[in-house]
Amino acid sequence: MTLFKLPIRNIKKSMKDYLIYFATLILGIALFYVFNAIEKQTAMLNLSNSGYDIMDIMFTVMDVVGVFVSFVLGFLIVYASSFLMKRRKKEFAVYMLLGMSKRSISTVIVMETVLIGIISLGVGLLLGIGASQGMSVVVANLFEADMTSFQFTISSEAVVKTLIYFLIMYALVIIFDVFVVGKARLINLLNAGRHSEKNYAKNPVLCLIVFGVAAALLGTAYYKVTAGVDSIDDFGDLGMQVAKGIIGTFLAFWSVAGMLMFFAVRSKRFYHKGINCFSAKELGSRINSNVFSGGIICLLLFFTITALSCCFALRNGMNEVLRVNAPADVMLRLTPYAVDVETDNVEMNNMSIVNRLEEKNVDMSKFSEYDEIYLYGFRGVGAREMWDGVIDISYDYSFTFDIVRISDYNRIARLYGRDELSVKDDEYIMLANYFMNVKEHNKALAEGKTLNICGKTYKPKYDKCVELDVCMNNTEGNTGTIIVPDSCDFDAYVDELLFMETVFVANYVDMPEQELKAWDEYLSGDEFTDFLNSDREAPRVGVRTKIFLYDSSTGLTAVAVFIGIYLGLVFLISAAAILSLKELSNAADNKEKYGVLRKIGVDEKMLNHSLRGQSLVFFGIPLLLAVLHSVFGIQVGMFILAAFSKRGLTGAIIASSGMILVIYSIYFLITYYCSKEIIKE
Amino acid sequence: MSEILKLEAVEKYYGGKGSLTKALDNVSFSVSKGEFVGIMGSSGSGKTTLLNCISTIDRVTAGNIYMDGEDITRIKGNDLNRFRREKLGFIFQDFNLLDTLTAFENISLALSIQGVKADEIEKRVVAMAEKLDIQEVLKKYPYQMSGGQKQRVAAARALITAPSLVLADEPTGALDSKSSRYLLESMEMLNRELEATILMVTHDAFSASYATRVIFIKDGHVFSEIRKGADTRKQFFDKIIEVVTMLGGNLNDAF
Repeated sequence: MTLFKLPIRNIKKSMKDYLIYFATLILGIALFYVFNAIEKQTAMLNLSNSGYDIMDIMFTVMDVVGVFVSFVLGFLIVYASSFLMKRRKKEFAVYMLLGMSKRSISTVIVMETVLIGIISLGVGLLLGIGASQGMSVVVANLFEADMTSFQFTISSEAVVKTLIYFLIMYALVIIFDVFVVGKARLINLLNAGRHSEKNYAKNPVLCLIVFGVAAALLGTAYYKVTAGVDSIDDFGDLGMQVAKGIIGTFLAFWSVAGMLMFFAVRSKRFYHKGINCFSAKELGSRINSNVFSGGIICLLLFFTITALSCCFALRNGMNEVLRVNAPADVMLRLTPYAVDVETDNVEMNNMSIVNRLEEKNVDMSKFSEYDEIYLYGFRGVGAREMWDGVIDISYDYSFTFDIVRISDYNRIARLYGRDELSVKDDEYIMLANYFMNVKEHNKALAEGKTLNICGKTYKPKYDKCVELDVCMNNTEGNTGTIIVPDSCDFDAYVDELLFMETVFVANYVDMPEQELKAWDEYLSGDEFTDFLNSDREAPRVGVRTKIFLYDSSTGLTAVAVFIGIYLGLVFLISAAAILSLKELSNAADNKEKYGVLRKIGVDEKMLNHSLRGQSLVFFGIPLLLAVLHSVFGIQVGMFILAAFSKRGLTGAIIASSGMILVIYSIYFLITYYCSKEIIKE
Repeated sequence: MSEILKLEAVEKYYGGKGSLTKALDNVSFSVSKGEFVGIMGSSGSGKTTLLNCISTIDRVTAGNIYMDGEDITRIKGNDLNRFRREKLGFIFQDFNLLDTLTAFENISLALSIQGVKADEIEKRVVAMAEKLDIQEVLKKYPYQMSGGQKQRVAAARALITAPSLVLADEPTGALDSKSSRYLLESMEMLNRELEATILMVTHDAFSASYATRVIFIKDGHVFSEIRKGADTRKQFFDKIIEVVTMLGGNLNDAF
């Protein structure tokens, strides 16, 4: 047999060992291509300007993430190949006994790697190219882009980049493997099959205690980041909880097998049924010998679940936020003051946005309807003073409130297409949607806190906030707007109240799509804003159009979603591949044991049942703990992201767990199938 | 005495046209209940093939093997496992204990796969351990035991289910002489007290001398057979050596 045939035969022969390796390589390559091809895939999509800006940010971030990902994949591939090398020590020993030089053996390995490289790159790239077409649809959907000019594309840059990165990885694998062969000594290779009968049984009582400690650490960390979240005030504190979570995870892995064993042994009816005691002990020793990797895998899965869920939630929530908070076509806002400076020199004539637009000869006929209202604020009264005696505002800052008359609010609400509100003469309504403040306000409102405004006492109409904003926005950031009856005389109480801002809202007339787009881009462009504010002495006017808000926010969330999915999938594949490799090498090591069981009369059904059970638990424990972590991790993630939104979580969790289950199951099934083959006689 | 095992003209060929190897050539003998039969032969004589055929791990080419009157060459599929589970006990040269299980669990496994109740399992394991003097290692793992202890645990596993036939394949092969002697004495005792029927394959005349009957196999067929009868073990050993000498230099490794 020539040296050329040997590698091909080797791969064919040990296909069941290589299957996981191949699957991981192909998935890795495909993933790498898909995310690097996005640039090309999106080029043909009709994106708006702000969409393109965001894309640029995304590509920059993706480049950095790409390097990180290639490190993770590189590590995984070297790890997997070293696993295969270990499994083949006997084979190398035979080559050496036959007088093959180390150089020839190295040649065989190099050629095998080259062969595997060619096949995996070919299949992986094909798969990637196919998948990236689907990705375009996802991109288009995320950026709400026009798909009419969509066509099949191959990104040559991405292909080249994938080739270069993976060729480097394969070169590393070759160097590593050749190094291992170079250092190998015949006697060690021959004895490779005889593994020492190490025993990983641990003291069950100690395990119970350690598991208790782990549960306590995790429990308090869980509590701290959810129910006790108010007491976490900086990232150091949050980091402390994360550290507790990590230590707790490893301790849990150290002790879980011993702890379960403690109970399994005591349940004699379970333990002495069929080969349950064998399955339990095998599994226990495997978990005990994989404490570190088990913990790492659990954390990787946790990251994946949390990242995917939060990203999807961010995306879903953003749509909902926009639907509620950007209902009209355009909003202009006039603010007379620089931030936090209150003056009395307000010329009310200068405060009208309508006046300004007319002065500047803006084409008002393009608006089908428009209106403007004035918002007032309280002098020197913030939340702390307002809610005095009801709730204790412990913040360092105390935000202020806006105040508006009911008929003014309703004029704007009509333009927004919202339901109109009503109040009796002695009632007020609290409008707020910034989640932290909503919580505080609701406490006060539930107590029926009355307010003294302009010489009159008002009581709350509702026992909680109406979660809306007067302005248009792409985040929920209204800290509080108080709506009072029209009878409230603002002008008579200038000592108490002051003018805050003017809000102008308009909807466009029906016009052709191209014209509308041009009009909208004109309004939201910098040029128009500069034009409106050409008089530096006049109060500044800002413009927000619905389309601008949609583009900028969906772009931001799209970047997050992309990177979340990318990293999540890479981590998921890494975790699943490591588990699979461990499981397979274990099956190979245990082949003899299954032979013994067969001889003493255990039938195939029982063996397969045991094998399946072991694999299920081995795959299941890290996932289970990761899911438990995520239940709380997602809440922390949502807490951090809450400034954006906390909606759309259910759909997000379903989508991400679906993705995780599919990939995890593929690995589980390949593993089970292959290990079943391995233990066959 | 009733017949436990009966081989009738068993043949086993390996290979195909051109290179046919007759591993077993017209082998016939029978074993009665309570016998301790030794099978001797040099390597390549076919004794391992014979054992594999009897244990249904391998299939015969021709002939029949009856166990408790049932023709085991006709058993197929899952019934083979049931057969092995219920009728046979194995003792291997390299013990083949499961290293993740304690001695107790290694022994009890043989019972639990038969569906014996947990309470009864415990009683029977303890009783068997007493007989083989391994009570003190019951909680230990294989790596904590000596070779002799391991093999006695293996013997306990083989005998705990009270099988019709115990197959021992070079049980002393991996033991030092003191442990070998102790194990063989234990097997002799089990044979006597529990009336266990034992078929032991060995190439060691000393081990064979503990049997009540020795069958010699050469080149795939039965060469001769001697019984211990009223002889002492020493006398029986000398007789075995005589036959071995007659067999030729093939069993040199016995000396």
